[in-house]
Formats: sequence, structure tokens, C-alpha cells
Amino acid sequence: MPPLMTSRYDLERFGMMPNPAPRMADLFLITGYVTPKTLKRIIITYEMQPDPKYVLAHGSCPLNGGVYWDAYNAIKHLDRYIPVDVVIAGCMPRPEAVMDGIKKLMEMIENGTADGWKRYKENYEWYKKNQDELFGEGWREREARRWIPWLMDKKKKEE
Amino acid sequence: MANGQEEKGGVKEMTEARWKREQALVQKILEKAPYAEGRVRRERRIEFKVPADRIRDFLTLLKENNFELMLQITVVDWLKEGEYELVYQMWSITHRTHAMVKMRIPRELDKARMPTVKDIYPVAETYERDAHDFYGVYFEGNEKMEMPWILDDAEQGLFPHRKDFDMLSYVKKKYKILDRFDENKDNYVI
Repeated sequence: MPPLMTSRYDLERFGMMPNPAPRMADLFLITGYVTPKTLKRIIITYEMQPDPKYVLAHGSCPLNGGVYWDAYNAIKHLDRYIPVDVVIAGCMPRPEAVMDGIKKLMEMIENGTADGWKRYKENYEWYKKNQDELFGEGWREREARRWIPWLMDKKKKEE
Repeated sequence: MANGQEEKGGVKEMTEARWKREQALVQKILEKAPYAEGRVRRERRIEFKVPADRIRDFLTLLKENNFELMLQITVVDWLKEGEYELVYQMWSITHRTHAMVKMRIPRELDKARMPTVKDIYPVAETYERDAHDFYGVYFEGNEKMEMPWILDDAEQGLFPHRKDFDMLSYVKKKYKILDRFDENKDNYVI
């Protein structure tokens, strides 16, 4: 990713720019292994994006675990939890491969086969089932409330 | 200590001078701490072995001897001996020397307890939580011990970096992709 963005390969000359906010984003790049903790944030960020939205998984780790195939804290198949439109194999993939992947995604958008965001809506029960199996039901609320007891303790101490 | 005299000599003389200075430093510390063992590993690396209950005294002594920084607390799991080896990595800017303070504690979860050194080196709070999360060493006196740290809820209390943690069957159970991780090499999908 860094060589792709900096002067050597310079992705900006093709009009592709990193965006600071998910509310304005079209393309979501997953650039490396995904831990369950990260996956929670990825799912929430993905759902914040406006339609149409596309996901490009980068490297073998989101594809099938890669070198973390027997690690307890890296998920093995990203497409079980969110829909992935284009997957680039390789560890790490060359910048050319990433550019090729983005070009491929552009072609898919042209001919209407990049339909991950539609699939997420149609098969939401299946995705939600996989997410809940990994994190346990009600993980969004639990994650939001996780730090509250500790913050409350601190507040009480200050009082 | 960073005087210009030693830089004038060749590399060999410089190494020898450093070596001697480290030995003098070890001697100086050991005089005040008769319970500890110490040796010079090479230039700029010194090593101490301390009984686990004297760690607070020893780190106080190191702090008095210009070891300003604590770099890390590492845990080594010696499964056959049934012991954890805790290594407190200390760095001295004044002496330009790295000191490893080693001690052994039993690795059973109810016996793996240590006094905290948070009040001597405040940064130890983070490293102690780290050691607790992955190895289950309990540091008495650190009130953030039960607070969630790096690991997610699913792995809390499993201490996944212990040597006897069955990683493969845990991964099989957690991610529900059994065939791919079959031990039988005929069914290896990778």
C-alpha cells in the first residue's frame, strides 16, 4: 500500500485518492490480516458506507488466512462476514497487482457484476449468522459498553 | 560516562574498556544486593538473576544506579520445568547498558503471582497487563489487572501464549473450518 500511494507508483494520477471518512467512500481496501477485533470495526465501517460500495481484499490473509492459518486471532475467510468483490492473491501483492485489481473492479462495475452490496442486503441473515457465531450475539452493544464500568470507576474516584 | 577518552582508541581497546566498565557496574550493584547473581554477557549487555520476592528491592536499587527506563517485561514459559521466567528489560541512558533482570516463578495459574513494580517504574503497568493477558501472571497491587486489554472477550482467561494451550483445536472450534486443518497430510488443503 505505501509504495502504491507514494511517488513511485502514484495512484493519484489515476484519480484514486484515500478518503478520510467512510460516509463518503466507494471502495473499502482490506490490506492485511483481519483479527476478530478489527473485523468488528470493519463491519461497522462497511455498514456506514453509502451504497453502492465495493470491497477489495488485499493479499492472501483475508482470502484464506495466509501464514496465519493456525493463529487463534486472525479470521480465515473474510467473505463469510462481509461480501468481497475482488480478491488480490499474494503475500504481499505487488503494487501492479493492486492496480490491476482496481482496474478489474472498474470493469466489473461497468458490466454490473460488482454486486457485493446487493448480496449483503439479500443474504444479510447468513452474514449476520456468521458474525454472531464468531462474536456471540449482541456483540455491537457489548463492544459499545465494554469500557463503561472502567470509565465509571474512574469518574467515581475523581468525585 | 560519555567522555571522549575511549573513542580515541581502536575498536578492540574500546570493547575491552567497555567490558571492564560493565564488570565494575555489575560489582557495584551486587555489593548492595547480596541476594542476586549477576554477570556480563557482552559489552553493553548485563544480566541478573534475582529471587522473585526481592524484585522490588532490586529494581529500586537499579533505579538508584541510573537505570532510567524499563523497556519490556517478557515471559518465557518453561513447560518441562513447570516455571515461568520473567525478564525485566532495563535500559540505562547514563551507562548505555541493557540489563536483563531474570527470575523464575511457578507456572500454575494460582501460584504465578508477583508484586507489582508500578510505583517504581510507572510504565510497568502496561507491561504487567500484557503479561497477565497472554500468560496469566497476576501482579498484586496493579488495580488494572482485570481491565480488558489486548485480547477480545473470547480469549479472556485462556492465556493463549502458554505452551500447553492447544492452538490448533481451538482454531478449528472457533472458525469452524475443519477439513482444511486436518492433521492427516492427505487431506491437507493448503
